[in-house]
Amino acid sequence: MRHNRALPIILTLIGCLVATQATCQIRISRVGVVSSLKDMGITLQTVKSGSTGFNSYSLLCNMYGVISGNETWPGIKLHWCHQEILASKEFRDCHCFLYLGGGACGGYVRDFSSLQHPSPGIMVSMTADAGVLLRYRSDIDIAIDFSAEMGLHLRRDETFEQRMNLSWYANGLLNCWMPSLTIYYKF
Amino acid sequence: MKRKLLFALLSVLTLCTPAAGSSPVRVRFGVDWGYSPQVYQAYTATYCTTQLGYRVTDSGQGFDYYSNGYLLLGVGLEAGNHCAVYLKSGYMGLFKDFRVMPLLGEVQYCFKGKECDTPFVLLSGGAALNEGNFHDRTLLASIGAGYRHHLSPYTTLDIVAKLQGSSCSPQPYDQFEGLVPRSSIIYSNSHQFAFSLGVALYF
Repeated sequence: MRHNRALPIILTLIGCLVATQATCQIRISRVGVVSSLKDMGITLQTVKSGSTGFNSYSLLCNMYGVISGNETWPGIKLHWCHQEILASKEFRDCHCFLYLGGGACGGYVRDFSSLQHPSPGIMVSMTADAGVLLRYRSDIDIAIDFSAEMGLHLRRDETFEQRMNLSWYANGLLNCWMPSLTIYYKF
Repeated sequence: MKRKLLFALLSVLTLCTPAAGSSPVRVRFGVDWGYSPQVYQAYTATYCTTQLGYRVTDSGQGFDYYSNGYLLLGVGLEAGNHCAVYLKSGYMGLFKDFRVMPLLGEVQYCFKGKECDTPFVLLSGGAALNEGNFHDRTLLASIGAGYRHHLSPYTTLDIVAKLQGSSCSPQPYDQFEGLVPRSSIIYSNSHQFAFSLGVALYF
C-alpha cells in the first residue's frame, strides 16, 4: 500500500525535473553512485547554461544501524544541494575542483539512539556540503565530500506507541565526519 | 599436499615475474567496497544445553539470501605486464550477525596488459577474525572477474564480480536458550557461499 502511494510521488518528481530541464535550459551533466558509511545511493547532477554552479539530486539509503548489523532495512532520504565551485587546479592527470554547497534533505530514517532498535521517523533538514571533484580525461569523474544536516526528526515513541517524539536530527551532525565517495559518469 | 602447495606457489611466482623489457614493478594502494549477499548456507553444530545438559545436534542447508557488504583497504604489487598480487584487509559481513576482519591475498591476471582498459580474472584467499575474537577460525576463498578502467595512467577503477566461499565455526543459536556459550559447544561448522559485486579504486 505504501509503495502504491510512493510511486506517483516519485514519478511526479521525475516529471518535474524533466519539465524543468526542457524549459529552463538545464541539462543533466553527470549521474553517479554514492558510497559512504552513512548513505548509499544514486545521484544526478544538472547544470544551467551560463551558471558556474550545479545542482545535485540524490536518492539515498541511510545506513545507520545496518552496517553494525542491528537493523536489516536502511532508511531512505531525498537530498538536494546547490553547489558552487570555489577554486580549481589542474594537475598532470586530472582537473581538481573545490566546491561548497547548501540545500535541503528529507526522508524516513532512524536517528542516533542508545536503544538497540530505534524507531524510524520523518526527517526534514537543511544541508551543507563541501568537497573535491576530480575530473579525469575519461568518462568517469570522482567526488569526495563531507556533508552535514541540521533538522528535525519526528518519530513514534519506542515505549508508548501512541506518542510522537520530535527532536533534533542528531545523526546529521554526528556523522558529518564520514566522507562520501561518488563515482560519476559524465555526459 | 606439500608438493601441490609448492607447485601452486611457484606457478604464481612465475606468472608474477616481470618479463624482459616489460614495465617495472609498481606498488599501488587503494580501497575496495561492495555488496556481497550470502546466497547459500550449510551448517552443523553439536552442543550441550546449559540447563539440563542434553546433547543437541542441529544442522541445515539450503539457499538463504542475506544482504551483506564489504570494505577493504589494499596494497598491491604489480609485476610484469599482466599480473598483480594484492594484500587486503578491512571489514566484511559473512552472514546474519557475523562480521569479520579478513586478511586476504589476491592474484589478478589482466588479459590486455596493465596499461590498457582491460578485463581481468582474480583468485583470492585468506583468513579472518570474527570482530577481534581469536576463538573462531574463518577461512575465505573467492574467484572472480572484472573490468579495469583507467581514469589516468596511475589511477584505475575496477568493477568486480566474485563468487565467495567461506568456512567458520560460529556460536550456534538454541531456540530456548539463545546464543550457546563457547564452553558448551562440542562441534560447530558452517559453510557459506556469497555473490559479490563491487568497485575498487587504486592509485
